[in-house]
Amino acid sequence: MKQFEKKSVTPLGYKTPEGFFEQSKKSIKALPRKKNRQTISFVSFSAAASILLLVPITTMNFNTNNQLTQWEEDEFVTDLLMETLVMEETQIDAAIEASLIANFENENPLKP
Amino acid sequence: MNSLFRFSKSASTERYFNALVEEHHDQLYWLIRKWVSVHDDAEDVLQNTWMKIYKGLPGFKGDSKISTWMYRIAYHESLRFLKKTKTNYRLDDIDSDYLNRLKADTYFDVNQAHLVLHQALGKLKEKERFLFTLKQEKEMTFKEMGAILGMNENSIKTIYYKAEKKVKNHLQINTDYETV
Repeated sequence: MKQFEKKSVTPLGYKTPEGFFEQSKKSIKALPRKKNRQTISFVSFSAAASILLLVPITTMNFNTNNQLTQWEEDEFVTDLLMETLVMEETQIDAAIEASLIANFENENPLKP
Repeated sequence: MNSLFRFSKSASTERYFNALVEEHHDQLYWLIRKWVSVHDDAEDVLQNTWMKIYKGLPGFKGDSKISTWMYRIAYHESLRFLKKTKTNYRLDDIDSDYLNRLKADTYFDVNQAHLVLHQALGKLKEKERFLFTLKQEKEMTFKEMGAILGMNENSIKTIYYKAEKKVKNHLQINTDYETV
């Protein structure tokens, strides 16, 4: 047991790379500064990421609005066509006749 | 140490942290190394330990010795690492994970005397090995060891003497060790 105790004072066959302790101490002392830098980098990164994310979303909304307007226009034309389809022929004839008379009168006004 | 702690009250956390690194770095490394065996793993655990120490430093009120508090962090970090990397369940009385890790370490001097010692340590359960190493390395009191592991003094004594008996038995059986 005594021999073990004597051995355990020094590492039990463990080795370390040359200059490990000096190097390790140096890097550990730098940890707080590294951590602060990481925090700052993280904040900057978050801000940049938010901007990058917001720009496409805004553009997408704009595009969506445009698409909606186009869709609304299409729907209006379709509705008009559908209405003419359900109209009776006599009504269409009457409308055409009225339109022709109106046009004729406009083009050839009665002279006093 | 107390004077150093008082100094810390007025000094910046970073300066105090640097003073702690200067004073305790090597001891912490050797404790962790004996717990996790492999140099590269010990280095990772040591770095995590120091990070936790730095984060916890402003909240440390000085209820216990700073070294006890630091060893407690090191103990928990090592335990966390060992649980995470555990690959084999003990089927016999030897911790094969412990010995396999050791043999694979490029920074381990493989010779018969070292192997006999580590086989003896491999017979211990993790908690027994932690305690045995603490006592051998730091000559700590059972009370201090209890504070590190969060256990009462009597339980610590029981575990420690059981561990010591296991190690003694193994070394007595392997009589070759005595001639090394």
